[in-house]
Amino acid sequence: MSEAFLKTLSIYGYLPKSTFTVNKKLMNNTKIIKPIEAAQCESTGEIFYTQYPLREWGPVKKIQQMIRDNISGDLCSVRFTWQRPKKEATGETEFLYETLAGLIDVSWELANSPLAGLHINRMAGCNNLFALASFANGIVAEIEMNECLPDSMPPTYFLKANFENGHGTNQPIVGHFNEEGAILANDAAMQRVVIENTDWDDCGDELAICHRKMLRSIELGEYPGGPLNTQPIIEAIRKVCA
Amino acid sequence: MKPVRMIVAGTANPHVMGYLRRADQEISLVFDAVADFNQQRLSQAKEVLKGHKTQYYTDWREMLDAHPEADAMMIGSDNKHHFEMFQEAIKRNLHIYSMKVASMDEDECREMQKLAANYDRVIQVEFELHFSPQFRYARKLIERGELGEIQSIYFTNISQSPINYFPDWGNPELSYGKIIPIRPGATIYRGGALTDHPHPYDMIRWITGREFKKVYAVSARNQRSHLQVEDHAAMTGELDNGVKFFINPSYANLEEKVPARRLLWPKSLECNLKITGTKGYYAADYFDKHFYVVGNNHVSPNRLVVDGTGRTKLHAEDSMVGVFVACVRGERDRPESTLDDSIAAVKVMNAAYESIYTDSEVYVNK
Repeated sequence: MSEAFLKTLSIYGYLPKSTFTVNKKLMNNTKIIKPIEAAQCESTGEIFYTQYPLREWGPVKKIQQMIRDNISGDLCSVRFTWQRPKKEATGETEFLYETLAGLIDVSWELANSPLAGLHINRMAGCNNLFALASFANGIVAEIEMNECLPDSMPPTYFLKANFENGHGTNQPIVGHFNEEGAILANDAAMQRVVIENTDWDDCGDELAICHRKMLRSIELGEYPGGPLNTQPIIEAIRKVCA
Repeated sequence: MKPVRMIVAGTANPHVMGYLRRADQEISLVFDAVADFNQQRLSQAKEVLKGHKTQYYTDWREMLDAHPEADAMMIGSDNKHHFEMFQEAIKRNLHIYSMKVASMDEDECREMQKLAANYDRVIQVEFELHFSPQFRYARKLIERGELGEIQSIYFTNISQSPINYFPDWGNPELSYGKIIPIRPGATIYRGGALTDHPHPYDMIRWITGREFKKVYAVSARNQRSHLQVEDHAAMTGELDNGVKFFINPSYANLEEKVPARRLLWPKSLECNLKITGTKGYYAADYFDKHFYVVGNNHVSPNRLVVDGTGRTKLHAEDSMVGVFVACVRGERDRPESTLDDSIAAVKVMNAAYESIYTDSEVYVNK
């Protein structure tokens, strides 16, 4: 097994080191080849395996189970988000002929129908592309692959499946990482910015915004004057902490 | 200051009801009249405006004759009728506030542009995402060069379909203007999710300052088998400076199959923006100040729903209506989003439809 394959396995986290040691011994005589090599293999009767680790990806397995159990009716479309920082980018061949090929392979598995069309829109000179794969039964796979994120960002791998009567996904319902605010990143740092109003976009911090809003409410006469509930609150804290 | 007197021609667009619901808070606008040929929709408007002095009509031309005092007309009908309403509003020298697809017919669009060329009244087309500060911030970042040279841009505009609860929704002729199958021989027609989601094209133009060059689009099998129009589209292509884009303008978030607006997927709207540049990356979500709600009296009862927490409006012009009123009063030169913006979006949408039909890449300005 190649080092690149080992790395890929560990990225997906389904092969702990100890298990891998055992598997390595077991699989010494097993021929596992890359998709680009498998595509050139003629049928000689020799047993080999094509390296598609994404077939074992949790969200893929779960969607397959949803389909088997008819949880949400028929599948209609899937959308993949595959993003990595530049420092983790693979070579172009791996990007196209292993990762993209792997995503198309699992789309095909989920669609359960042959590939009918593939459109790839690549950015020149970097691992960044959008692809649309159509299958013979009308299911579509949307693929966003971007290995050009700033180095301060973590990788994200999401899959959303849209069915006739429901959805299945590991994608955050809100935001980029299921967190508050927008994400602004360069190679040095990543920050979450909360932008309340364009005139306050120098701020970006939720609590600082609250302070500005309070001052504005006071100015507009909307904020109540006086001690409010302060006395019993402070008294209660004192009682416990004094 | 005197409010702008508005009459409403058609309530087919669900956003119209949103404006009517806010009539109590909107002191700069007064709704003198509402017209809709569809009695069910008109009844909804009456219910929403209960207590107001608004008058109601089933014929929008009759409404125009009866309200010479009107300053402005909101065009909120099915897209098919936008052109004739636009022509009539111009004849009567009214300010125009149009729902966001001017017309899906590009000949009509060209005619509208001619009529608007020397018109001395305001014509604003509704592109409300210009007022989401996280998207305005994206525009600023690009203007300031903070992300470096832009390599790719990704924008999703995914919602539920109002098919189950909004009268006449999903009628291909009313929505697209004519009946054209999505692919040769298909029984699904143009006029669905792609027609209903013009924001991505507008936003990408607005944020980057570039025009669309070419597009390749697909449409998956419908999630809603009872819908006559497409409920999914996805596309990729290139802007005129070579930047690659991806857009998904779909009804890919399901609603409950009941005659009311009830979410099934917990988020009513996905508008995710991702910009990759040589120096940086920016990602924003429409609900980036999110809040989770469950309530037995919520419009989607007993279901976890993602909501927003609102925004601070510092100026009257921090809203579509505020900008429109400011333009009508002569306090501002031009509206935030114009007829030309809408037509530019329509051209990309039609190119995407042609791409789906021909299964080929299509240039936007052939």
